[in-house]
Amino acid sequence: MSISVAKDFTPHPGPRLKKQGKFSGEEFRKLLVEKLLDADLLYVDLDGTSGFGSSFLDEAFGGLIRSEGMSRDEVKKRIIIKSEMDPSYKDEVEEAIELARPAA
Amino acid sequence: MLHFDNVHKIEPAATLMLAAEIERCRKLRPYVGGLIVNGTYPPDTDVFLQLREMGFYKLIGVPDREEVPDNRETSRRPRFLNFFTFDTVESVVAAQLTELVSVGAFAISEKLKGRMTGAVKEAMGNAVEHAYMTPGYYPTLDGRWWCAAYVDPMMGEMMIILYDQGVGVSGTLDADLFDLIRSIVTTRSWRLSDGYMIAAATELYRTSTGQSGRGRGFRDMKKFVDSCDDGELRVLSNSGSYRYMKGGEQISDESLSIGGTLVEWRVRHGQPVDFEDA
Repeated sequence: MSISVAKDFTPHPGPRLKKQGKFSGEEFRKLLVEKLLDADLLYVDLDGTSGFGSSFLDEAFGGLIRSEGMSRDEVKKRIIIKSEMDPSYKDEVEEAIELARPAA
Repeated sequence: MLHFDNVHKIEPAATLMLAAEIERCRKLRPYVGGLIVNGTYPPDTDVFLQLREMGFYKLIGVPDREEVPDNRETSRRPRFLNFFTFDTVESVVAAQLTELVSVGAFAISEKLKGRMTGAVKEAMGNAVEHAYMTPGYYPTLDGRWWCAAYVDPMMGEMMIILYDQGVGVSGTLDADLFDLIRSIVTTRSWRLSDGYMIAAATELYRTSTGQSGRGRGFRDMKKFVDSCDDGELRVLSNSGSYRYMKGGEQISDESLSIGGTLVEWRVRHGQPVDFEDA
């Protein structure tokens, strides 16, 4: 299964949290969780947006570990990132996953 | 009462902060009918027209005297956008700002348009997410930020300024981030003052909590400065002042606080801008 941020969510990704503005990383994370219920493997396409703030990516992907109870290994195994226009976004997602700690 | 009688030049950042302060007075003191601040129009035509082009009069709610003609040469000066202000992160606005820069100042690759938009969104997000986390000395319009910008087609230059009236960078650090900043400050033999804490914060962009980093926005702003003919990133927060230019930085602490955080990003370039990540 695959999901494109630009086509399936918004071409203009927003802030970290829903209360901070439209199309937040928090909302996108909920969409990822929904998709992961139906798929073992999820391809996430980051191309085609007007640009990401790092807090969006951190909340969407690091938030899977902090807020959704997923383990780091599970996130790394089940989510495949595509970011050809700007590969640094992929690096950033990987770093967010690496640094995230489950909420106490 | 504001008098502009002897004003012959006014910096965009100063104008933005003044407009924000007036808006705060008007919105938080409604019982005096919004009349807590009044003043005179600047007698200097250039100052008057610059303030009008910035939308200063509109933002503070006074007539902008459209009947006064603007006969200034348009091709040899910066063109200001109207100020705008929100209390949320406005992604579409950030993207429009980048488009305007790419049309009105210098061409940018698609990848870097994304970086510029991301950096602006991070700056908006820092104001919304962090700046008003704790109460400050004066009442505030929580989450609110103000933006000014200009493009100068002749010079190939753009400037974007964001201002918030929050508690400043040093007032919004949780223990996790504070420890990281302290380690940077110590490693570099800096002092633990506002100025040095801003400098350290511009080098950090994520912590393990995921809640307190200041984003890669500053890092990308610095990369634009490094990759262009000329430019600077200036961050004023409380009493601290941090200025990053190609090949150097200046850090200082002033005696007075600006009562918030101001990010001023100016870049000039004579050809299409592109850069690779290290």
